[in-house]
Amino acid sequence: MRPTARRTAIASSVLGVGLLLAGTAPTTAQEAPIVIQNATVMTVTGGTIENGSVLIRDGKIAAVGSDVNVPGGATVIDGTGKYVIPGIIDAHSHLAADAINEGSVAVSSMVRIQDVIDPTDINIYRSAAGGVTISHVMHGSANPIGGQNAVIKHRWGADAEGLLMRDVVPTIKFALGENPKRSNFGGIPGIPERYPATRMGVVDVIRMAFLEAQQYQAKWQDYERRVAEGDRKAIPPARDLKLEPLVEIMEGRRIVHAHCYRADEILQLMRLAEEFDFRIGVFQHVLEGYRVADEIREHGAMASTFSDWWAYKMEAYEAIPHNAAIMTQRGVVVSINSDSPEEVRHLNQEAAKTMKWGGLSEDEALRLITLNPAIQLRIEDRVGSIEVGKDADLVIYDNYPLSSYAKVRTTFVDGEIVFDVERDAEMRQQMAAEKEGLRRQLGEASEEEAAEEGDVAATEPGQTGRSAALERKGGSR
Amino acid sequence: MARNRLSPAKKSASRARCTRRTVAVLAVLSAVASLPESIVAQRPSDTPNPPAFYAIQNVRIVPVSGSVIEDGTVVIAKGLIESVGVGVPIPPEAWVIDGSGLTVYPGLFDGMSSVGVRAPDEEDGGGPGGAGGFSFPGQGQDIAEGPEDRPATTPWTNAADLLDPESDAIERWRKGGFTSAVIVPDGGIVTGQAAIVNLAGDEREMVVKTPAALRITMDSPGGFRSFPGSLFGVISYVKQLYADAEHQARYAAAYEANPSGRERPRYDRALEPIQRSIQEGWPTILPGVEKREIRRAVKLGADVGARTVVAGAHDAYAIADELAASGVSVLVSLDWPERGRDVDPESQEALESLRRRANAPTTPARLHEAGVTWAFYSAGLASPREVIRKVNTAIENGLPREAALRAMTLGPAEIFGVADRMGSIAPGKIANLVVTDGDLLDEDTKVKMVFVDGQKFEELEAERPSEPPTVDVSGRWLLTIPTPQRTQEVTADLEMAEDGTLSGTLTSDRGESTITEGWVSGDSFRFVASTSMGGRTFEVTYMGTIEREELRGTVSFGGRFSTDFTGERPGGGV
Repeated sequence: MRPTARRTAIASSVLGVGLLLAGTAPTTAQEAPIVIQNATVMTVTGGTIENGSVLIRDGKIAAVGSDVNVPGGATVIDGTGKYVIPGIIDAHSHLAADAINEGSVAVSSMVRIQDVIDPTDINIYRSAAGGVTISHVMHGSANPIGGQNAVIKHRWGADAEGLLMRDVVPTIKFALGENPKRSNFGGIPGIPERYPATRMGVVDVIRMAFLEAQQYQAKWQDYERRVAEGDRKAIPPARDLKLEPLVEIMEGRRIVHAHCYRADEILQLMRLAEEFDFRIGVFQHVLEGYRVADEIREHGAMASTFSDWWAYKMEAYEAIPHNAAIMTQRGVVVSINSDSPEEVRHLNQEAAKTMKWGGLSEDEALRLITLNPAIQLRIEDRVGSIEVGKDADLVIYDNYPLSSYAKVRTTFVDGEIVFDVERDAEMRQQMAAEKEGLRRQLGEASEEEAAEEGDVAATEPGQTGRSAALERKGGSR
Repeated sequence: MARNRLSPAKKSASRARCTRRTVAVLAVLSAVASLPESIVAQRPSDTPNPPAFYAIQNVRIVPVSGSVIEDGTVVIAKGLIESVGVGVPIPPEAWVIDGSGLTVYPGLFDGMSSVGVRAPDEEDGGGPGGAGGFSFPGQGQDIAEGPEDRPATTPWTNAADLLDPESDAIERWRKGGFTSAVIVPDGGIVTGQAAIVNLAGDEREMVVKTPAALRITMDSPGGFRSFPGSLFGVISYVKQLYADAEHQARYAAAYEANPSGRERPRYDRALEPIQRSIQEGWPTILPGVEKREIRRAVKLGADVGARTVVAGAHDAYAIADELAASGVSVLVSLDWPERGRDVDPESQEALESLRRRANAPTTPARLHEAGVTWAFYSAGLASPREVIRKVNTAIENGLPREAALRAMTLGPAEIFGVADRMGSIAPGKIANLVVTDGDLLDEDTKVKMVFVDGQKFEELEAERPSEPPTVDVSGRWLLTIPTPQRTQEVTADLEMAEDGTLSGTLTSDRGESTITEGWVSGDSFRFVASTSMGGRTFEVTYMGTIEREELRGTVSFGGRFSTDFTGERPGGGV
């Protein structure tokens, strides 16, 4: 979790108004194929194609290249002067959830983000407007072993079940350092502090949990053995929803995403995992990862970090903007994440910073927010690059994406448009009209108010009049 | 008992069922008439009984389970509906009520309520954050370290055991036409068992069925220190609890079959009611107001194998077909969402919130069309009048009137498995009825009388007519109140002002009381005196007419029971 000071919402023109459109049906399924033509297609895995085309059919990428036939009945999008990249994947997010932390216990592996998805969170739409098509929605960092995370697709308008990405290897949150030890957060008078209160304690909690999980695993293995031997009297052991995911970790069926900052705690956790013969999947934040990049690689872990965001607390001081680049150059699979409903809207710029600071190539930089997070979530066979057969999760930028000039024109998830800058303007008007209608139905709208609402909504994105109007309404978010 | 003919407008012969707590009062006031021995024999010999037979004739009957009868008779016998229809025989022992101009409906049935339910005792336990609601962990309560501490879990608590039959709320709702309610315990995650009660009598008489349901909330008690401290903590906890209950049942059975060499199952008070709820298919009430909450409730219920009843359901209008397909039942909260009163008038309301406010009252119509099993519940609304007003909002939003009525009568009975005994006017069912002077759903319709378990309750109108008095009642009267044990005599010394205002005193062998208010208008009168009995103070209301120096009317004791009385000038000859 990052300090709120960094979370100040920027009232960007596209995103400032509460476009609460959840509940409307998502863009209707594209019956007809779509072809994006004459664009600069940055495939990530297959180089950049000038004057390239991408064919979308049945939610998948059906063809990509400089010579793509337009099937009959296809919708053609002119990509002249525009850039197409794979949908951005945010490997560390807390949007679209009605709960983040089960902070009462040191091990909260029984809780699941997927049980509390909030499909009405406007940030699903806003981050889609920043080119994000997939988010790894994570439990918070209050516990050495936290809850189960969820991977969602930004299918704005779908319900909670509809947002969840199916058949994904499940993940879990771990956390090291200050947040799980909680000794500097100030207790509640009269209430005993939760264990652990030190970094030693954090490691102890994790070790004890896995020792317990080993016993639990053994009980089930014993039961399954007895059943296999034909023992009809065998009674299944009691299920333990806290230990089940830990067994999955030990059996390589669940990926650990561990919140961390310091090199020492990173090493500590890898050694602990090796004690129980499993591997940490991804270190999150990992601001001192550049110091132990080789060890991370050798352990088999990956890293998901910020571009240049640090010093918001003591354990986050020893950071450098070259972190992502150095780890990449040492052979670690690295992603850049947002951990923020604001930063998620310009992850393309965050990735671009690694070219400036660490000298990464265009493809390497782009990988940090597309293919690499896909690898970290083990969904790289389905998304993360523009390849035939992959999900048609695509972003069209109006300018070179690895720059601060780029704005998203259109975002596709599974071949369906979830954001389009022109449609956004129409939706604003529809929304204003619907609001006005509802107020009238409720007998609450004054005509003046209604007129003003209409003006606000009708203002083109990017024009300055809108934020002035918002201020007048006291509606800055 | 001889057959009595009474005009309900002027006289009524209603007497209260004698509750345990009112026996003392009754014995003193002797306000109850005699009854056939056969019925008396069912009760302790010192307990007098109300009439067991009524016939409401010439009445419009809305049975809910059948078509309307414009001019029929409903016969009540020993707490049950004996017959319904045109020209049905009236038993000779029945007290006959002329229902001309009146309509009789099944008594209203609140789908979920806490009417008459007191807070559980603190010492009833229930783990950290348990019974009695949530208190801050650490202050007199333990901190729950995990599911094994069974936080805020009191499935053994039964609303029936928390009944306070003396609660004013019971009378208030009954006066408004409510004869039954599904009552639930409050506080915690697994708050306990619901009971179906009739709204009159003592605890033993009120309860119709228990357990009627299990109630689970998604409230997290713990904050950042006591488990569970979050919504997903609660969800995971409920799943663990059900998994534990299932395991416990399986293990205990195996142990009972062959205990030798096995570790004995641990005693866990929380698990047995959970096991029963699954095995016996109890309706399980889960909260869900907004769309995602409703879906969460449906999913959680399915995950644990419960028979789900979603309560709240304001967004259900948008997913009515989905709910129909899922097979869950729905309780719709009548507390329609409104914009907060203290909202900054300049602030922009989210579209989602606007939609909910505008569309929530269409939910009943949508559920009705989609064929969902659903009912209304009062959701904390203050009064029956408020309920009727909010039901009308749903009717204005497309709900057919018949469906609205059903959702307050047969609907809840179906959801909670008692449609075979309640919820409509049909022979054999419990005689819970409400008699009105118009359409029950019209806001200005008055409830004339209510029958609960065949016992009549009648509101004596308090409104003073503007007409001046045509007789002077000043002076002494001897009032006679017949009872099975003896005839109670009360001496009334009345003084009437020119405008009809009455004052004076009432004297009996129990002492003297002062008339606190009273009037005469035309040949009608009403006066009220407070009396103290058995540590309780209540009002005794006399109401009736004066004809040729004779008073005839009804006396009501604290609104709990009433009977006829007559009055004559002393020496006038009894």
